[in-house]
Amino acid sequence: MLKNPPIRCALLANVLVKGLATTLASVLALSACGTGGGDGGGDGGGEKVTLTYRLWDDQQKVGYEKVMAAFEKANPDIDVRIELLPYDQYWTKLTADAVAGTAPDVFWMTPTQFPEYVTKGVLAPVKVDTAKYHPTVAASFEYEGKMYGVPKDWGIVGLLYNKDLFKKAGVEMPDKLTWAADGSGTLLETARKLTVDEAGKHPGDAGFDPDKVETYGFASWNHYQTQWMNWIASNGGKLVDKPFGTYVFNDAASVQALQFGVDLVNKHHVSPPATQTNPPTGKVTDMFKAGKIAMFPANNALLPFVAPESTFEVGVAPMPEGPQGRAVNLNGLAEAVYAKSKHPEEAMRLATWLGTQEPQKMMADEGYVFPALTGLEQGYVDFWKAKGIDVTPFAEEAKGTTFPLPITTGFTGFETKLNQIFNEMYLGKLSPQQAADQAVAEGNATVK
Amino acid sequence: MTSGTAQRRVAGAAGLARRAERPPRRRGRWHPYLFIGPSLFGVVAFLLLPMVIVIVLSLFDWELLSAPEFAGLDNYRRLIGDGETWHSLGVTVGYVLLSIPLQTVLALALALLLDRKITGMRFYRALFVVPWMATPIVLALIWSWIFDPRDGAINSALAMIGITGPDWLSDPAWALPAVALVSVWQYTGYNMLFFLAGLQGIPKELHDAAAIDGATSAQRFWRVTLPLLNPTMFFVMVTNMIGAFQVFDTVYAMTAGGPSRSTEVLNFRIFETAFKQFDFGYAATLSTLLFVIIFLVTVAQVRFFGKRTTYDLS
Amino acid sequence: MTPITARIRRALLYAVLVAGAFISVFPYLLVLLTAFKTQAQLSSTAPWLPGLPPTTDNLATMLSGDFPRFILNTAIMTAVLTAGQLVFTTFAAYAFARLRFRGRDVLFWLFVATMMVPSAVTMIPLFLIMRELDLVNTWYGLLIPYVLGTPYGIFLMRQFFKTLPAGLEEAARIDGAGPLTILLRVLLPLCRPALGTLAIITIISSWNSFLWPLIITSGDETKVITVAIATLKDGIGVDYHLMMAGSLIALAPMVVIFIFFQKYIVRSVVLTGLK
Repeated sequence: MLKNPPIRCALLANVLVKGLATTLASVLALSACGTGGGDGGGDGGGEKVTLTYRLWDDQQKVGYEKVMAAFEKANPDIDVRIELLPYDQYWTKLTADAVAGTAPDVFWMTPTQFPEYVTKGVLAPVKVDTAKYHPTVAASFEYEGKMYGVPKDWGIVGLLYNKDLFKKAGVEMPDKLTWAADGSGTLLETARKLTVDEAGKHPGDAGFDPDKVETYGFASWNHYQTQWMNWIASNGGKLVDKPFGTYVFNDAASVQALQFGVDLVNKHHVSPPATQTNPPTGKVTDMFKAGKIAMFPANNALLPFVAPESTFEVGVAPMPEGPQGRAVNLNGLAEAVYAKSKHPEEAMRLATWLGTQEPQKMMADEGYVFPALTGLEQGYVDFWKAKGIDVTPFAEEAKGTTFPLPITTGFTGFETKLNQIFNEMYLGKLSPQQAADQAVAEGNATVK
Repeated sequence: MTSGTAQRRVAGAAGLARRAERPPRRRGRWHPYLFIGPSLFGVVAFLLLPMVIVIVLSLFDWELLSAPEFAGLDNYRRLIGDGETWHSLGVTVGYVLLSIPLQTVLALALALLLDRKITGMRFYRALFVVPWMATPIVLALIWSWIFDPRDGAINSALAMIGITGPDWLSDPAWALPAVALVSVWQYTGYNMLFFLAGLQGIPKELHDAAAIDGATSAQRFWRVTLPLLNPTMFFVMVTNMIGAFQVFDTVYAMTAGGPSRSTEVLNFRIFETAFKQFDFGYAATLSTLLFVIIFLVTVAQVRFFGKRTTYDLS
Repeated sequence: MTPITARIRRALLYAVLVAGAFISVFPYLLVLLTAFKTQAQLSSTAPWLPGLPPTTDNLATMLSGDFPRFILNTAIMTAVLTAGQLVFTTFAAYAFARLRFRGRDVLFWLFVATMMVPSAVTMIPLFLIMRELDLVNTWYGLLIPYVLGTPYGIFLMRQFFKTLPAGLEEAARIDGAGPLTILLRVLLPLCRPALGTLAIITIISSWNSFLWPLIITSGDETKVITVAIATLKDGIGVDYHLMMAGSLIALAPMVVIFIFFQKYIVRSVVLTGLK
């Protein structure tokens, strides 16, 4: 290396000065191209309007690129710029944007976040014919008699199951799975047969070791959307008394349903322990994929993560029926329009168009989602049929009793606490009554 | 922005002009301001100003999406009676105590081990810094695999020697140590870097002289190395404390504050309050509280290191 | 010391290093293994066992999409931030450490104090400032808060400048050198370990920066790799194998850069010659 100090000093000085110069130059150059290639929000000038469309799903983004190309063809005066954000930070970013007035013109909205944004005037009312859409989706985005989102799609909870494990255990999937608080019904019975410990014993056999289970018959865990909300609803309970209402899931029917969910884990041992499944690090999906769980309630949106390259044959069945019949969560998304969009007319045109047949059919036929427009389910079903999975049960369930996620202000702030309290319940440290009482009290304190 | 740059340029030109006129004794006078000028501008505009705004907002009731309303000291009154916050503060202090001493001692030990000519030294240094170089989001996922009570690497290894490992992230007694362990893992190699650089600044002659005087290697460490590393140690301690008091990412991804709120550190609570409960005014109050605590801890460290150092620390 | 005890000591040293290195890289080994697994292998093998035969499909998938563009974005951001940081930080730290001026200590601790408020909270006012400057969704907005030197870097360099013996400047000053000459000719040559450290930490922390790029920009033209990797996890599922492949691609250049820059973290010849 350089042995001569003066030379080295000169070199360092040179590096410093050059560094300074290049820094300034590159910042200036970059800022120039940054403003040039930016979203072009305010600078009138040209005739073309650029709309920003924001979503969080990297797989659906591929579909929406085609959808937007079709839109731009039909609306030559509009360019659509798609922004993909990570789901975990989507809402933080949207909040910052809403505060600063820089939110995208059209963006995805969920029922649980909807109350926060609609009550604070972030969303623009839209004109849609709600009768054309799935009623649960449409009802999720209504506020004070007006619609604040164009129904986009829905995902529904069904039962994914491992056909290989069924075959191995010599068990047939019953025509109808049922459950009841007293432990009767075909669900528990089937799950028992599919739960096997290292010695080949099932729960209830003498010498069955719940700590050494190889495969579990069922996955019961702390997940409101695919799990205990559904037990509550199919036992005649409710999470929230009405949209924008208060939490009521500590009544007798709800607590009984919660008890059933917990019993599957801690009493009947047909489901993995809460230490492995509790959020945020629970690994139920991984365990199902690894062939350690036979029956797994999941949203159909999970299929792309589970089905391709699966090491076993995946089956789909309807969720078990409870004492009050079957009631499953149907989670709808909407295309929301930003109330302070700089191009309200164009933004509305885009959102309205996204609610029509052409784009919704494109997304359904490519197997991305069940569209919110009724009558297009077959495209989604056909796509998955070609992949060897019959998803008809999802579509059938959607025609029966469905309910949305809790729609009430404060839920976003309550969610973390709710998960924490119910984690304790699934661990067996709180009784369902205690957990539900505590959660309802905490939850109702957050409702505004 | 442009006017700011222009002003700096004018100030620079003025400084140069003065240098030519004034007698040599005074010519260094404007240099310090010239040197810190760009950073000063950046820090004031993009760090200090937001911080002051946050402190001011602690006197407001602001739900983020609606207009802020002045609330006087209401948020602070609420803070006094807010048991959950004081609980979070306790958890935060616990986290700091679990992570900082261990990671500092390990980092120093590693630096001493690697401050010598051994085969593959560069390679080892790189390996120890990998935990800090890797994409953080991915690491939280990986650690949740490692901590899995049944199929995880740790408990699988423990099972081989006949020990049943704890439930780690589901056990209120173990969750905080587990999160702290990840921090120790992540930052030990990183802090080693500073100690390594600091060790290079210690004149070899001092060690040689001490050795000739008959000092053992332990004595040389305590009497020569450690005192002369003081400025580095000061930097490492102050910045690590600031970082540890604000821990968030690992908690968010690995435990979300649970189980039984045993990992609900203050910064997690601040994030939840600001962006999930949309209670930004109170989040600003909690941030101010955290700021005051970190500030006091830093002042204490300045005092502590100030007494023990041979150099001017101020 | 006898040769035998020396040998034992050396063996012990290596044993400690190897054990430490194993603990250090083990979690990353899982990333590495997962990056080369198919989805089927991911489900059927333990995380610490390789999937056989290994597949390069995940890496190929990542590299064939927009990811290379995001790598380029990240590289540009890192280069600019590092250049700016090295220059501005060095000047500011030098002034804080070795020049006397009015308000020096107050200003310095004000700099340090700005690190003490959680950035998730200061982010909102900072975002509003950026909106006022019309810099939302621009490269300028992405870079400006950090390109002029950060308190962290300034603190680091100041501490190093302070370790240099007092009186180094005297001789140069008598020769009529100004502060700039002293910095460039006398002090900086002694600061190679510190500059090397600063370069490493700036490059790597810029490369991995996540929250600010995510908040200030939202389009693909400024998207950085950390944000791109995070989008592989949505509300429902995670593409582990792709995420790990992305992380592996992101890490590789950092290891190379680290090995390059760390050669500066060695004893300076000039310094050891000093009394």
